[in-house]
Amino acid sequence: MLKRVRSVHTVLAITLCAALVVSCGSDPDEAVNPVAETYILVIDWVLAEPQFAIEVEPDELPVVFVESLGPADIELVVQVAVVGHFIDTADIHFIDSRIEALEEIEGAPVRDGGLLVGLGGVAVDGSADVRGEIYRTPESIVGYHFPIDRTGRKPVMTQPPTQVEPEGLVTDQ
Amino acid sequence: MIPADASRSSLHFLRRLTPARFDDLPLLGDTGVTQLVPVQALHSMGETMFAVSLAGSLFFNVSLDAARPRIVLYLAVTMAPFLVLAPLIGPFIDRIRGGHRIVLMAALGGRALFALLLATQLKGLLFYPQAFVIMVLAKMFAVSRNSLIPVLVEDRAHLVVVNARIARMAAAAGAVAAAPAVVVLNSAGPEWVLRLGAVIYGVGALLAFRLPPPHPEQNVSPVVEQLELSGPGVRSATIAMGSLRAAIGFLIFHLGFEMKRTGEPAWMFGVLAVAMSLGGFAGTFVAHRLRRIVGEQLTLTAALATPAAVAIITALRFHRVTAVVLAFAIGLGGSVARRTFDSVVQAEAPHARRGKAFAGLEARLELGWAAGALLAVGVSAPGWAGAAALAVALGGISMARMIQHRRANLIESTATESTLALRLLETAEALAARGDRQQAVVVAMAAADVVVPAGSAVTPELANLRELGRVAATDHDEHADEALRLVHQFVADSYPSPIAEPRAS
Repeated sequence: MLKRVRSVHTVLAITLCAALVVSCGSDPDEAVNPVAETYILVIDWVLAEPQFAIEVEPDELPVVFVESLGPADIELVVQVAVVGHFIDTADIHFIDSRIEALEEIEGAPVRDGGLLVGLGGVAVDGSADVRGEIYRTPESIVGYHFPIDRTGRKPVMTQPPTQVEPEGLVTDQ
Repeated sequence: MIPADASRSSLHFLRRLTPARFDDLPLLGDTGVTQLVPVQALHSMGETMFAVSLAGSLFFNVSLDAARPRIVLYLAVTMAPFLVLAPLIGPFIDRIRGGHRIVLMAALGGRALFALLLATQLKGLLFYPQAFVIMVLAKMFAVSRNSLIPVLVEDRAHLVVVNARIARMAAAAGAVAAAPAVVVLNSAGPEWVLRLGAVIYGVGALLAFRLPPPHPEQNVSPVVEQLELSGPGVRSATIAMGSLRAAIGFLIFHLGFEMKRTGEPAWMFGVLAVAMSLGGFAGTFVAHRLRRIVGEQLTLTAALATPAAVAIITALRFHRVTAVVLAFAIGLGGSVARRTFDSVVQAEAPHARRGKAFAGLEARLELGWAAGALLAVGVSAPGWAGAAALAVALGGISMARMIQHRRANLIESTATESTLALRLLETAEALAARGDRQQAVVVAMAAADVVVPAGSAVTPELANLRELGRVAATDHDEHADEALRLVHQFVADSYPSPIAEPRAS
């Protein structure tokens, strides 16, 4: 009986230790979705742009809320890939309604001193402009067209984005 | 020896949490229960670790509209096998020697394993299925634990108190684990909170293996078990308990989604969880007193009505504070209902309580939780609307129970002045009105026997009546009305004062 107890304990302990080792050694998801990679290019550009710099404490990550500018919602697999890509550099939150991103009311600044980024739809293949809008406060909304070449293995931004009139993130206030 | 030390210190802690009037109960003599206490405590601590780790999970990063179909799918997929297995769990546990122990071990070991896997997937697509597997394993643990305690308790009279003590212990252990969980979350990240939780679950699984076998119990016929569990008192308590389990499942997901939708910070989820746990803790003290004052069935009604009343206020003014109060109220109601349900089952179904059918019943109660959760995720109503729906559902059930109480009291008060035969007829009528027609026939037949003087010869009329009653009470429900009418006539003919005609059922 004692032998049986010991063997069960041993098997259980070895299984859990093995799982613990595997658990510690795994990497976060790599983004492989072409739509996700397109959005990653846009967000990367925003985070690198000095005019959109987010001030954070040394042990904190900049917070970026992402909203779909339509026509369709951003798929879950795309959201997960984007979140996974920025896991060590930014805290990305995809939202359904703007109140999730703003302080208290519509037209207020973004929560946690972060940014709200609106992302337009991405065509299925080929080169395409992707619309992006950046919101920090109601007075500082900027819109861009990002020229993305998606004919290669990975999407690339062919030239710097051009500024356009914002539409999607503009509020009445 | 870790288990013995753990048992002793846990028990000492448990004693301190228990009101002095229960000190005379020989809980220390129930060695099986004392060894279960550290297992339960570790499970609760692991639960806290799991809950705290969710603050750093994908749930807060992705949009609910995108995640909802998957949440519904995984909730359904992970709960579906449970639905199929519910009737098989009892026999399975019973058939294998030490079956309860194996299920507890499997649940804890499985949780440890999936906690480790989840630590690598907190921001990945596998987060949802793995998190739901961990939740299902928690349900499996609860079912097995609830059906194990009665077979470990040496003195059946102490079952309700022992259950309350273990519930208190679980709440306290969960609260104690919150501080280290938050410290690890802030210093090392959510994945390390899960890894710590996995270690705790692993130790719990090892301790579960050392649980003693249940006390040898005489074989209880499945028919007796089913009869006891289908009694009106147990059935009514089961419906109340199931409703509250569904309400809890609904509210957890409803408030979780609503907080996310309105951009509430992650710590707000922690506040809601703490409020629900505090309600559960308070319920273990309230239940005993309330039961003594108003009785078991009214206590169950109060357990339903309290969260219903708070839900009305929450629906009228949905806010952080009202949401927290509602979480407390549902925790309180759920805990009071659980204690009272234990008491009802102990009193009215003592054999079934220790039998295999009870595990199936527990599994069905857990499925109520899953159904409530599915409804909340599938419908995704605004905060106030969900609270209103909860108020209507729980309030409606409370009202129905109140009406039933009044009816039962009315029958009881008029019957006390009658003879035994009349009281039996009244009871039969009430049973028939409630749909328990075969039981009604059996009770009515007893009334017929009561009016026949002892030692007198059996008349052909009585013999025919007994035969009809036997047929109606066994497998020919369609004869029940006829049998009831004839018994009523028989008693009326044998009784000196006139008796009112029976109401149509």
